[in-house]
Amino acid sequence: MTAMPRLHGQRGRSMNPDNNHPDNSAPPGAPNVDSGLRGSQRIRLEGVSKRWGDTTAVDGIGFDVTPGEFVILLGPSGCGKSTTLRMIAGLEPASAGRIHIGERDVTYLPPGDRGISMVFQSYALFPHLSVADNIVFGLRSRKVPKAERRERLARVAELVDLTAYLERKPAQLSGGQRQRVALARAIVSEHPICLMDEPLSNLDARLRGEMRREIKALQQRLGMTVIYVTHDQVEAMSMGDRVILMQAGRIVQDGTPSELYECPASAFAASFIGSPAMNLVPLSAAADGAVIDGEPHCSVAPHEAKGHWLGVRPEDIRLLPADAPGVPAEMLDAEYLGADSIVRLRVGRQELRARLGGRPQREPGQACRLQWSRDAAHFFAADEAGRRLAIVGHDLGAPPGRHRFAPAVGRAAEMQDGGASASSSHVGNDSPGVNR
Amino acid sequence: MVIQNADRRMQIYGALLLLPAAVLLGTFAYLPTVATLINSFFLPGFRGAPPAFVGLENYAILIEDRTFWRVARNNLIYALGTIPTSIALALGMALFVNARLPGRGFVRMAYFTPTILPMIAAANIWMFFYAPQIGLFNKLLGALGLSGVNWLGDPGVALTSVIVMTVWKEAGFFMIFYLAALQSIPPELKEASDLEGTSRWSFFWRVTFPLLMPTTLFVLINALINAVRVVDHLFILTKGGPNNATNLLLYYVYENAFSFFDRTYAATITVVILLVLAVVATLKFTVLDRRTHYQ
Repeated sequence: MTAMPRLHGQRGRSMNPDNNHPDNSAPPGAPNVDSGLRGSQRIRLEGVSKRWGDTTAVDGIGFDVTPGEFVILLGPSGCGKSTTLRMIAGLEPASAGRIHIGERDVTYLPPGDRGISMVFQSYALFPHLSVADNIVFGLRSRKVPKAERRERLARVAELVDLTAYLERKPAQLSGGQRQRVALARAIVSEHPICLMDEPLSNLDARLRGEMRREIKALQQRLGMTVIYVTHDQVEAMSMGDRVILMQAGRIVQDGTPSELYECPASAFAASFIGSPAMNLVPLSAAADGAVIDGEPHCSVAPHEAKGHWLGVRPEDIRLLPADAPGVPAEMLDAEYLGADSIVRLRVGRQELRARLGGRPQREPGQACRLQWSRDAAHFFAADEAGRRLAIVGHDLGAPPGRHRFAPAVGRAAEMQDGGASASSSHVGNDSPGVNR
Repeated sequence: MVIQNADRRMQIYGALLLLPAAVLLGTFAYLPTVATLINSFFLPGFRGAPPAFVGLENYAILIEDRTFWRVARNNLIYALGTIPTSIALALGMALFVNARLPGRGFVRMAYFTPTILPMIAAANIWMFFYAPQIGLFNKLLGALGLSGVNWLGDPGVALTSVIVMTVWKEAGFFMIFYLAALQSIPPELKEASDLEGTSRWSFFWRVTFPLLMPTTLFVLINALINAVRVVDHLFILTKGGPNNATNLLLYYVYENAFSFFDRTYAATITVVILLVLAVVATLKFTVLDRRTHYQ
């Protein structure tokens, strides 16, 4: 997240080839906002709610955004993330709670007095104005002198690579260019805080990836504080310094992308992040611990886990031959995606999905064993909240009766590189080769 | 040969598709126009004598005709009095009923009611408002202790009275167009400008009004055509009087054709009206259209 030179390189390539400033610490292209002013603009929400009649869109949420942070509000549609953003912007009045920006309580301030800019999903460009007039629209409202306006326009247009298009009307631009105009309009105001409401959802997949990098690079280059609303987990994971996951008007989890991925706070968080989604299977009781429902032979967790949910990411599952230790499974089918394959497996009465590198090695209908490392197993309560349980699963790689119930060691240390790379590490006391 | 035949068949096919519209337009628009133009070069034949060709004599008479100029001046004042007022009023009403306000549907309906009334019915209603003794306006003035005005009988006031009635009748109709246009403006534009602290006034002139320009043009042309086309209310209210104070061009045409039975002179005035309207339409298409943003 702090790799400035790399991002600069990307910016230089994708946005603005002939603006390679040698001086990275103070880019001349950046609007010269007093960094001290930027430093003071902390955003704080306390118990903010929004109600329309009987429906509660946002239910008493609170969080802090430190200056320069890129915070993602993530969640399915209708979870209240856009409403939260609009309350911060002042476009919706909050029904309860306080919103602070910097030292000021802005809860009742009009949007124009909050010192924020915003990028809308629809871009909200003025169709009758040229690109240049669109960008300086706000500066004219704020009575910025003409000379300064022109200077700031030139600077920002160069920054987002729109210099050649300043005389065009928005209708004459491509989707990506319109997006840049919207960005330029937000940047030119030199407000320290920028709110973005699903700014990339109108772009096609390729352009979206490009703009993701550009926005992130711009944010780092200008030191902006960004609150970014999206329902796209890829955007959240790749752009955010911090992700706030929301569900039904409440915050489910607030943490770094890796925390959300590796340590989901609830079954909802677990199923929302990751593609394909994390496998969630109910556990039932058996003689030597909790087992996956319908598969009574291989216990995967201690007794306390029974009746709850087990979550395993598809990429954490390893497929082994039928004579290896692990959870017995039957392969249903495989979907070959090129770099990897998604394999559907039946375990007891449950179905799991595993992501395996390369082409699928086995035929449908074949029996096999599944293993995953201890910290790849997540446990969630079976109630509605589905909160995370502090249970440690069994080591599936160990032969029955030996280290299976040994206490987990160094779990916290393992956490930091768990997840995706779990298939190649952590277990140690077995390998497919040995078992074969 | 075959290709040529197929080509010809397509042409005939296309021509047949055009035919109904062409027949209707030709019979009811172009033919009468040409007939009017030809008529304007003749003097009416009396007692069965054939009309005599006189060339531009009718036009020469027209230029000398004091009444014509009076009527033309009336019509100009009428247009200047009705068009800007009704457009401004329509825009104001549309902005008002586009905002959140209690009983919005009722207010919209109330504003639109004059439009669904036939002009004759509306004129009859206003007849009662304007009546010198029992009229609503004079009653109200009387209640305030002021002496009444002869709204339709006083040559200095009559034209204004007709203008006021026309504005009342037309504003609601134009409001509907403005309302539709306002609702097609995405609300994010207002939000985006609010975030920059743009005042309402500034937003209206920099965004709303330019985006409404196509509607304004449409309404303007309609209002202009109506200013010379709709004279129904004159039949009820003033019959062009007193002393031609409220006479308008089309009503003057009617008088010439059906009261004075001078059809060719009526045709001459009609040709002049058509010419003026053609000039206005050309101006619209060449000057205003180029400066208007169409989405």
